[in-house]
Amino acid sequence: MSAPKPDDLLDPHALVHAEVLGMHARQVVEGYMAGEHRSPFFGFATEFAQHREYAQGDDPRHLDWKVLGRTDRYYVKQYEQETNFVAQILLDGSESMRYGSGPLTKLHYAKQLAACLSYLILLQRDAVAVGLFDASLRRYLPRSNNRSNIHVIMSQLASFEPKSQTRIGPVLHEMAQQTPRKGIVVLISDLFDDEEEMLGGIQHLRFVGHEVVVFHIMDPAELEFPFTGNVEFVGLEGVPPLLTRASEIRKSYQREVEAFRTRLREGCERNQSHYVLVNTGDPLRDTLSGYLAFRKKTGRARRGPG
Amino acid sequence: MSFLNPALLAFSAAVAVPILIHLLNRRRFRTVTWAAMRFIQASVEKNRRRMEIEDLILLALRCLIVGLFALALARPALRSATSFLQSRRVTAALVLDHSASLAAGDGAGTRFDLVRQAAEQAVDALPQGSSVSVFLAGDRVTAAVAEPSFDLNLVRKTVREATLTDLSTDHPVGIAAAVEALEGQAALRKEIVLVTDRQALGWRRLPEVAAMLQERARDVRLRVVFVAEPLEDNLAVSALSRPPGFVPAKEPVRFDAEIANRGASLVRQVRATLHINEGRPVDEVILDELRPGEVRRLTFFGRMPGEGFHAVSVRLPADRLPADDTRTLVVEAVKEVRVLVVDGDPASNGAFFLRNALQPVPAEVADSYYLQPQLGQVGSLGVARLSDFDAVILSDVPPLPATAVDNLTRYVREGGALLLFPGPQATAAFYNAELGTRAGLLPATLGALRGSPTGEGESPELVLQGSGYQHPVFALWNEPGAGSLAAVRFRAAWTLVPRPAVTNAVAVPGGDAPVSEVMVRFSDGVPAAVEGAVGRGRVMLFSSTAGTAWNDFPVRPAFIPLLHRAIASIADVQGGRFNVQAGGQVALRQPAELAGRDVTIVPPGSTERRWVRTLRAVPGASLLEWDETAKAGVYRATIAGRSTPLALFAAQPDPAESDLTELSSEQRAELERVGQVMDWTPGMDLRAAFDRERVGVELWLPLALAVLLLGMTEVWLAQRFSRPK
Repeated sequence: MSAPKPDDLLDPHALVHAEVLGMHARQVVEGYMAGEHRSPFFGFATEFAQHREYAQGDDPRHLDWKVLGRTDRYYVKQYEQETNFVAQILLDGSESMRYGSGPLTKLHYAKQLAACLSYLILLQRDAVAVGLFDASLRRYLPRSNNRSNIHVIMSQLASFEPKSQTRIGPVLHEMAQQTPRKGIVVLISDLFDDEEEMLGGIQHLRFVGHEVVVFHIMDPAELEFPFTGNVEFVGLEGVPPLLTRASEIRKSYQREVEAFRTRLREGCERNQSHYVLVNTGDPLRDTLSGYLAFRKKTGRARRGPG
Repeated sequence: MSFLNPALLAFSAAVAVPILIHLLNRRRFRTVTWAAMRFIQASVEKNRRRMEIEDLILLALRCLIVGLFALALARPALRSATSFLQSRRVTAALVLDHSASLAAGDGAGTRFDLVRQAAEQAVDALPQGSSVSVFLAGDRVTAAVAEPSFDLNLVRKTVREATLTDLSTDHPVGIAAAVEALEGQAALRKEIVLVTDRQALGWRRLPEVAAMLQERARDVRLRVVFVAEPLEDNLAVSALSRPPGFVPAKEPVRFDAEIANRGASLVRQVRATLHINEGRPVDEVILDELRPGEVRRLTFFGRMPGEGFHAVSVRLPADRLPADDTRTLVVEAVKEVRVLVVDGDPASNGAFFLRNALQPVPAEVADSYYLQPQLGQVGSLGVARLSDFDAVILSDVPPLPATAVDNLTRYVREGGALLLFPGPQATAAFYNAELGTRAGLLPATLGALRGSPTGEGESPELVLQGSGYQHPVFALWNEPGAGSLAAVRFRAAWTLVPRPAVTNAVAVPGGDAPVSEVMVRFSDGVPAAVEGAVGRGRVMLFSSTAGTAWNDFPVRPAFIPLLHRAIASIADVQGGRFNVQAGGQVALRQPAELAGRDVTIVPPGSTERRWVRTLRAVPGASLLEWDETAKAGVYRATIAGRSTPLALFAAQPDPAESDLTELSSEQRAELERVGQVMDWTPGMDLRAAFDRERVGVELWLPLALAVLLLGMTEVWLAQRFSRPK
């Protein structure tokens, strides 16, 4: 499968729908209020807060020229600023995400979803960071609220190619340790990994104060198992091939998948996290708008009438 | 268990096909690259055992279906409970019908050819180790292989070489011979295979067959194989006879023939011809039409060219059953018949009427007439050489001396012919005591005198029966044109009381019984004439005079033919013996000096085949005995040193054999209750039919149903098993 072009990842239809609805933070995060969001976290404001190393996509205007002059190193200045939440988007780039019953793979769909979410978040002037992982975090784009940064995100997403198996749990633990600031962690994955570790990671993120949203990416074939006759299934992540009469185990398979989803959903609910099943057979805009509508509704309910 | 199509058992190797398909199917799959392997692994792990069992069940079912189908093709049959443990070999008696009806053909072959083919198949159909005896049967049986032989090649050869005859058909005879042959066998399986056409004639005694098998052969299975198709048209010469009487040489002789249409359609312009000694036709009759079932009596006339034996034939144009298109009669033309007339009362006119009736020709040709009467005296009877005469007539003789009685007795016992006309001179005491009791010459005793010998008084006149004559001498007057014997008036007659062994059955010439027979009766039922056999001779006893003393018979026109027929009937002792029904026995008396000589007998239609038989010595003569007369036609017996044949005799087919009417459905149903009945046509597999019946129940149908049921089960299970689980 050839890597998608960056612009392909932004589904115009999805974006139109999603933009109208907006992105509502489910929880009030620390920081001062700016727009609809109040955040206690650092942003680019006039009141200097700290330095951090320049990253691709940062506005060069925020470079601290003095430091550059003295040390010949690129640092940007961070200010306490009215800012939005920081969304950490973690995209599963393992081998299993390469599966697609049609031309559209789960990874492609997941990239589109990640791109759309990133764009929306940037539109709201919120910051977004994107991490691509498989067995470990392979790429990480530090948070940024610069809209022009969307191209960098797209480019990174598009150029990513899966190579290895999934290990979600350790990645989540790593994220929990490296991002102590409360924010939203969006996990986009097929979740084909150890459930205990995965839920442990989510619990860890929740423990440090993150809101966790899990987008469970599933191909329609993985949900329905429409195969008939003798089929040899060759695993994408090194699992030995398995020959069976597919139609005869369909219901059993569907029960297994349903039980897996139920366990995940219940695990997420125990950790006050959102579990969202994404069927790659559904249009992305429907998936995205459906979730945001749900989120807006539940957010209002939680904040109450005031 | 045995198989009727064992070769098809090879299809059972197809049991491997489902296994191969199963194995090939396992190698035929499509590959899908898959991410969610953990769920498939879990599902397969949970369902593996069930799927394996289902696979095995379906595989076993499919193998079973193929196997049972192959088994059904091989047509298995279940043997009986006894034969399951015992040998299959059969002790069989093969009965081939070789009667005249089997000569019917279609131009390419005869029914008998089919009989032989079917019989050979029947031999081929016997299980290994079987033994067979062979009988050729009509209304008599020839044991071709008398004892059951294990040499089936010999049996086949015997069947192939079996010949057709002109015998009549009577299946109980053949079956009885077969039953007898099997009775002595200690075999467990005994079978009689009768191969025949469907002619109903042979089964007229079917109930006897059933009873015989029931009583004597409960362990014998009868199989009847019918061959040949029905024959639509058949004309037959169903009878040929000559009226009783001598056959004079060079005189016109009458022959009576019957032509029968045994077919189902009207036949026109039927030409029947008379042939003497197989020469050109000497007489012919053309029938305009002959309706189905109609029998037409025809009269032919022919002259015998000279003294001696002659073959007289009536022929019809050949049809599909040639056996009955010709019928042949052998007659012996005589030059002279000498009759001794002894009148007991010279004053009466008995001798006068007798002599003139015996020689009813002008005086100038009397010497050349074949009947030569000679008058004798009562007193010379004791010393006369009676053997010089063909017949002796005693007209109203008084009591005779013992020497005369002894001379008469000797003459009759050695084959002489005696006619007695008791009248007023006769005494019942002498006749009954001397001629009857002591000499044994009389077939009846004399009772009271009936009527009034003088014509005085009120006694009514006696008259003879007006119709219904059974005896050949009187049968002529059954014809309306011959006049009536009831016109004859009897003033007086002796009451004849026949011997106790009286019967109306026709006496067999030379046979032992019956002893006496009423020839004709008065209108009140009292016998008017009685005939009897004494030794090798015959005696006719009339109840009244030969002259006009007690009756007016001598002046009636009927007297001359009556006397001629009586003389011929009684004197021509051997006449009937020249002609027998096919299969019958011939016994011809020959001069005593020929005893021990060999006689060569040439059968009909043969120039090469000959038999030699030695003449057997009997008191006062020698006897030529012959019973190989199964073929209809003329047999010639010659003896070395003689230019003319010693004798000719003819065998005639049974006229009933011409009736090819087939067994009715009722008869067939009855026959099927007795044994297995099947219709065989060339190309039909007799072995299968026999085996099926021989081995019991055929199982292909239950197997086919089982295959169908298993097939449906397989489809249902396959669908059920392949449902998502």
